[in-house]
Amino acid sequence: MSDNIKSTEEIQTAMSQGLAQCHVCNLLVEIEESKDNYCPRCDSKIHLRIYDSLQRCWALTICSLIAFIPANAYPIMTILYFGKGQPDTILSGIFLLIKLGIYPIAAIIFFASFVVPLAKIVGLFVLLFSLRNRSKYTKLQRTKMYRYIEFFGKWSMLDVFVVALLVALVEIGAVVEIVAGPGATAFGIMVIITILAANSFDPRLLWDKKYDINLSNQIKEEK
Amino acid sequence: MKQKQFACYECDTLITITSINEGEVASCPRCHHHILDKKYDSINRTLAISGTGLLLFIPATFFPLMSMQLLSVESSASLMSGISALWQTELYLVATLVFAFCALAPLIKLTTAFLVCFGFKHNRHQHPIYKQLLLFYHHVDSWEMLEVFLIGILVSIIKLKDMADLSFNLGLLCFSALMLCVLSLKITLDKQMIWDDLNYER
Ligand SMILES: [Zn+2]
Repeated sequence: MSDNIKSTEEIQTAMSQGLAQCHVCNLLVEIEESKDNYCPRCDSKIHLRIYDSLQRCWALTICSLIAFIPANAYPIMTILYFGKGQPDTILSGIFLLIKLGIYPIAAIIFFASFVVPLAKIVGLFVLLFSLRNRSKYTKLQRTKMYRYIEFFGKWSMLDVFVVALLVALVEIGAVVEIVAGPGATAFGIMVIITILAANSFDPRLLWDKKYDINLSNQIKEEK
Repeated sequence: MKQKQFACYECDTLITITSINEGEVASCPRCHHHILDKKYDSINRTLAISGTGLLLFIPATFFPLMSMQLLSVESSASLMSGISALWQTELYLVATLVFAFCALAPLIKLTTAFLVCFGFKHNRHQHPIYKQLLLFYHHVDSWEMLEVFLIGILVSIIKLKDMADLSFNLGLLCFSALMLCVLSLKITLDKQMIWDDLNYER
């Protein structure tokens, strides 16, 4: 870090000064509680915290958990040899790859299509619960967790892209054909919902005193 | 007009950044989130990168990425033929998603980055249209998935390699180059500098 960056000795938040940073252009803007605030520089709407962040994130995370079920239960594609074939779900496709001995690809797809979305959903639930109860993770650990959730989000689309390519490539008349299944649609929807769920979570809530359970308990004890 | 005070986007800490040199990164003392980084020669580099990307866009999306041969029948796939194959199998939503994430979002990023930097270079960026372009760039930024698609190509290759004879086409080279251009925008485009330069006090 450069010496030119100064932070006040005691950490002050923008909110405590009645300021909020524009999400789009990073301008610090004074917030008036009673009305809607817009950024003077880029005209985006500004909130101290993402509007209804927790409600939205709870709703979307529960939705993505529900969407995870059809995404894995429906076949994502079918390989037809001479018009016959077994539809494959994501997991059965992975088992097939293991059986064929293609371990690296099996591992990549297992991680991108199964572990990452599931870990995202579980991670968001952990973050949401940690705001209601005492958490065993520090704020910094939880912020890092949020960063990973945001970063790995789009990699779950991998298998949908593979299906798109295979469908286009393998069209050899009556011999071999690859057909995409309804699982691909369910999967795409699931990925979008999980990305929206992660975007609706406001990491600043993790640092807000209001949600600092340990601190609020201390205050209660002092009283 | 240069902004000095910032709030960390992830933990809301107020930070004063008095000066920062090209190539330096300022991060939050509390959560280590990157708050500001100043890029080398941002405008010229972004113009070069986004211009190259725009030239590559048509070959990367329409030229075949790879082709396979099986029983003397040959078929090839490009990004667009993949999208249209999905559309024909009535997976309209999946086709739209692939189009939006792998073609539209990168195209919007390249075009807006090019136009904004072009306007900046000729000192015309105070026009309100450039503000809209920057906003457009911001909104598609997180939905661009070219790198995921490229890994998808590799996965498809390995899945098919026992089934048929595969060969690569020029499109794959163009696609990889396009992906590098779009990813490089993150390193070259200094949005903060452009925002700082806009007149907003009316
Ligand atoms: Zn703004």
